[in-house]
Amino acid sequence: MSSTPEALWTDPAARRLRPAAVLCRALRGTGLDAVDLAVPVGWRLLVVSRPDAAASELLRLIGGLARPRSGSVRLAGLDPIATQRAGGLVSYVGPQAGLYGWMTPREALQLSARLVALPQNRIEPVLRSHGLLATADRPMRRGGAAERQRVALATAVLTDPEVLLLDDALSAVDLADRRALLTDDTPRRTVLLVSRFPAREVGICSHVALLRHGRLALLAPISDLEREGLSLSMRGIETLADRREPAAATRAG
Amino acid sequence: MVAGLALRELWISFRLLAVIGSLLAAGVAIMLVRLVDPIAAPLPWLAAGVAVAAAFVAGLSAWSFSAERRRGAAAWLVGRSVPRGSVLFGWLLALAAPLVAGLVLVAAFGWLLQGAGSPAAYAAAAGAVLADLFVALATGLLLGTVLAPAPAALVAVLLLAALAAAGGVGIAAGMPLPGDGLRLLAELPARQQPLSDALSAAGTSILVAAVLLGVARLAVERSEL
Repeated sequence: MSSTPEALWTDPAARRLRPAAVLCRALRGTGLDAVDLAVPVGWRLLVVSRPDAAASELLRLIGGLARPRSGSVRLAGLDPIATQRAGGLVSYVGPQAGLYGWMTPREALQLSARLVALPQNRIEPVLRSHGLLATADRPMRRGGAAERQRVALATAVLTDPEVLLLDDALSAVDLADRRALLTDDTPRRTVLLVSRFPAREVGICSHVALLRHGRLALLAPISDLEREGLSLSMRGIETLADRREPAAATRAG
Repeated sequence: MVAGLALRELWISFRLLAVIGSLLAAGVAIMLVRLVDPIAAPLPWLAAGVAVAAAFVAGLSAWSFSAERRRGAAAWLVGRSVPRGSVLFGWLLALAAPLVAGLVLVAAFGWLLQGAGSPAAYAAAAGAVLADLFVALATGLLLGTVLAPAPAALVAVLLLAALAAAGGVGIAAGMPLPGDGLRLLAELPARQQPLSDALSAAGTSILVAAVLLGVARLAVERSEL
């Protein structure tokens, strides 16, 4: 097995070791104060925060779209800029789709494939799986926000990324479709999903992280909420964090 | 590829026509002046009209690039291994194309109205004006990399207006500054050495534009997308 960080992306044996796909060390940015976070390969992590903007900022720092004031981000050993240059290892979809309205979904996917040198024959299956075949040749400005968000997600998964960063990316898509789109069968893919409404992510995520006052206040499996009789909601997540904070403080003391 | 996307976006949103139109409006302004005063010298009015167009182009380019960052289109490209610098220079090329086309048209119109003098001197003055327009474009792109769309556009327009005013009222007389090309165009019939003046003005403006674009290139590496 190669000793390069890229081996973590490609080697099945390395994946079984569940190394950190995303590693943040003492990360400081707008609304973030020394966040330490390690997300193992294959996690589907729901990230929520008080205030809301902190979680989005975290994703933007991880995606290399903003620069941290201090601290570091590593995506399987690589910095975010290196992963951007490699193209396709990490995909970010934000609240704004970032696509031109005059483009058709097919054009957007073709462009995406061309930019990262992917074969064009990968486009049709992605159009089909994202429910875009019927509107594939119609400019996106004629569709709604939901269609643009579907296309943005389709262009993001076209490259088969190892890490998928979704910042309120499907807010306009209805719940059933949203669940179908986000529940994929790629166990190696690590997904970080920021949501303002955690209840909408039931069945989609495996773990939850809460950022409070700029720091990581909770990182736990979703099943811990059920075990404590709490719902997947902002209140439930904060209650779980409150219950664990005294225990953590006792352990630290 | 980025320049092609940007050009199509400018075309669809009518901004391409707005850039060309702002320069053609300078030609229309001369015609209106000539209606009032048939013997009015056309070149000072042409220079004034192009100065207004330069401020408009600076504001439009600032707004366009900043909006491109804000709405996530730049992030979408960067996430697909397009370097940040290529996004910036793609927009530079896309905005430069209508600028050159508009200036060629309005300069030809100005020459027809002027109807006398050395064609070489006039072409050299037009070249210096084009270099001034690149300063406006570079100013806009630099501001677009660091500010939100509305403030970027406003600051760009105000900067260009201040520069034009400084040149117009003689505050900066004798100093090599971007905008000398416009001053040369306005005073072309009276200049003793129009070719060397044009080269000097163009050189200053090209240098300033290159510095601004270099700073924008550095800024875009650090800016939020």
